[in-house]
Amino acid sequence: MNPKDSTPEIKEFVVISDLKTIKLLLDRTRADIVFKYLVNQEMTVKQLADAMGKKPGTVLHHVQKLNNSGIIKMVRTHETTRGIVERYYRAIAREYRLGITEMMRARTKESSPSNPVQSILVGLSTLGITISEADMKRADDLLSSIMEIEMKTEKLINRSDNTAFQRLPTSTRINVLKSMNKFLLSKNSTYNELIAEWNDLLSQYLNNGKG
Amino acid sequence: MSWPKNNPEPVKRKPKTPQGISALSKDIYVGFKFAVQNFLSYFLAMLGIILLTIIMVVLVLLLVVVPLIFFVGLPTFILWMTSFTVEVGTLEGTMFIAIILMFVLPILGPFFVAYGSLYGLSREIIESEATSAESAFSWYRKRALSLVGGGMVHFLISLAPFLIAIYSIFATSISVPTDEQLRLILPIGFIWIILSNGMLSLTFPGIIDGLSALSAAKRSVRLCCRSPGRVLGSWSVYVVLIGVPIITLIDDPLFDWIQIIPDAYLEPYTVLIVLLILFIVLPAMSITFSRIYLILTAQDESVYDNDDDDNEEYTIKLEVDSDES
Repeated sequence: MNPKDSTPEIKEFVVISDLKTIKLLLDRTRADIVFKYLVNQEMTVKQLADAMGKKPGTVLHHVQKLNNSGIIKMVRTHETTRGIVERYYRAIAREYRLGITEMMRARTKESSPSNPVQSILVGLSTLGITISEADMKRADDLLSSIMEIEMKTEKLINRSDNTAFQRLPTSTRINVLKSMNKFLLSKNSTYNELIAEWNDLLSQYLNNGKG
Repeated sequence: MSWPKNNPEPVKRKPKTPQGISALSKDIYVGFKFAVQNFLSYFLAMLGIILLTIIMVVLVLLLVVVPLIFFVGLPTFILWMTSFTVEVGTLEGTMFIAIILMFVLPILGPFFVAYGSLYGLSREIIESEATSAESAFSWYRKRALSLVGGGMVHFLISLAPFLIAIYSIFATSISVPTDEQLRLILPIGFIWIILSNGMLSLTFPGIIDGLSALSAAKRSVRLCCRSPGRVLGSWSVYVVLIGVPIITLIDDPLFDWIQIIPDAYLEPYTVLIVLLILFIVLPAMSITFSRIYLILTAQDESVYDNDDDDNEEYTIKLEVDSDES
């Protein structure tokens, strides 16, 4: 086997909700081709056939079906000196999740309320901090500005065109993001002023038992 | 505030496939090399496919004939069949062409699928260096409709000028051309058939690659326009290798103009020539065009590289295979 060490752009994970595609992956040989081999490296039909102990013709049929459905893609064609023209295939993602799109949408809706600032202000009451009507506008403005800067900073780091960063495992990526976010925000004077003001406001409620 | 890019821009490759006589000779050489190496697979596959095709043709005919006999009765059917030639002779224009196509195309269908299945075997060989006779049946089954479609495209485009000519003769007052005139018209017709089929020569590899008949035909024409030397050059070689002996063996004064080799030289070897064409040249041709298709489409999608060490442009992602060094 001659696996090639190239790094085509592949996604961290892909959610498959199309029933036809899910059915396609229920076949053992096709599942092996994708999850056992092509998520890890690019391979030719011959390499796959050798690794799986199957006929190249059989593997070629499966590979064509997977390629047509978009689960894998051809990343390279290599012409050898013997005249063979090898096509290298690779999975489009490192991980596939089957048919959970709706569930994910529901979760996203739950975790992302339409007005996050208002939700936080209301949520603070569970900790005994109930913002008064008089301070509500100020609290709302402060929190909105803080969240806006945080989001902008995060977008600066978590860029889709930074393929090296996007290729990191999810947990590492989150930790790197947190760490760099903290650093960049600490250097932002406007953000620091807003945080100081927000902290003062919260302190008033905590120290004076305003809430 | 800006964030420095820590990932280099991907290298923009300039895909380029070899062209010219060296590429052409390699395509033909590889075709024949693998056709000879896989002779047994092709031989057995073709025997099986020919048998299956005959069965299919009989089935197609039965599908038409049996209901007809059932409805009109056997004596009437026999009467119809005996008078059919005369009836067709009296038909004119569109009706004549429609009747011919109605009978010819269903019979040719299984042959198109059989021919296309060869490209399936060739694809396996050229992509993975191995195939087996039974693979042909798998391609026969899985790509049957598209292969029939591909054959129809070849057939109709090749014969379009002739069909138009036949229609014109019957529908208008143009007189039927004499043998003298046909000797002038036929070479032009031949050039059309050779050129159109040459441009469509990558249709079957495209169908095997999963495209529909029409998409494969369009892609074939596009690839041919981009690399005409490589596609039409290889096609011309096979036209000479297959066409010249066959036309030489046809004993008709109409084909006298193409008698390059005297009949007397080829006649004793007729059986050998037919066997060679069937079991070596046709497989070689399908391998050659499968190879050209894979290379040209790779260039299309900018994913081509090769083992040509002399050419730096090709060696961006080059790795020498241990078994080839």
